Amino acid sequence: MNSRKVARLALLSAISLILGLIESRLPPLLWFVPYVRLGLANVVALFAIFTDGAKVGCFVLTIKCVLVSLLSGNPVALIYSLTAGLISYWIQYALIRYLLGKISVITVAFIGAAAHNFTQLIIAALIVGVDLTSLAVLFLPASAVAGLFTGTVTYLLVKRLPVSLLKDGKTNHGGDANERF
Amino acid sequence: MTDRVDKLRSSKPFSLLDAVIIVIVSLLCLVPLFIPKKTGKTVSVTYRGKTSVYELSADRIIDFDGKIKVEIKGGKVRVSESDCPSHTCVARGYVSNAGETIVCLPNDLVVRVSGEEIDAVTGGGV
Repeated sequence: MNSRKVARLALLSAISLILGLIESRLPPLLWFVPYVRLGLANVVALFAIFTDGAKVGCFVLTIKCVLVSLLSGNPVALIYSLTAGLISYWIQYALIRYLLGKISVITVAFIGAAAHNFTQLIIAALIVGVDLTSLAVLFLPASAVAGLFTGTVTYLLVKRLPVSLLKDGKTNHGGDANERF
Repeated sequence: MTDRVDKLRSSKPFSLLDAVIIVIVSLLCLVPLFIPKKTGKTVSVTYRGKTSVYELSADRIIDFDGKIKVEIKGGKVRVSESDCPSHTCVARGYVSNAGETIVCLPNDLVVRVSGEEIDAVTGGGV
């Protein structure tokens, strides 16, 4: 861990945090389905899997969830967002690590978004006792569309940004195919 | 050794396999529609910690401090009016199956439909 790495991590976290805060202030995508958002902040974590590896992405995601929930004055949301975020993140990481050549980032993000919101439904069912069925039918497709969007954004970022921004061979080697977290 | 960045930049953005996976996952999302549902008989409304139970068979409107109103009509229940900012609770519409709920967080209201008869001891069923 050197200072460049710390700076990079801080930068990614800051970007994710700002995106998350803006999103939390905007109304949900569909007015009758609460809490479904575009998930732009998750682009950063997914992006980090490619450029900096699993640990950095996980850290960025955790920081974002904790700080957004505290700063937006909604600490209860942390249970949902952190659990769903971590589960969705590690599913996406596993897909990328083992299936990258065969599966597109877009699909990975799609699955990630579906997993994220599915987890939120499960937690809601366990804690509040909300029934899954009628909400789920609207909730899941809406979140899946958001996933396609974030996947496309991530793809474009990794593909089009200059390679020198993405990795420099000294502090971050890109997400290494052999990394062990 | 190529790393992920190189791999992504050198591969196609989208393929047949991706389309197939997306279609399958989307179909899985429709599975919840097919779970058999039980029609509800009673509804419990918890407002600010206090719960009261009503029969769905009797039409009525319950007013909570003038801030939020719950309406029972034709065996179904909904939140008819609310002073909350987003009105997600109102937009939910009528619910009538056992286990279904309507929640209004700003007003601290939870409407829960139950498939059981009113139990004199516990005040509610499922």
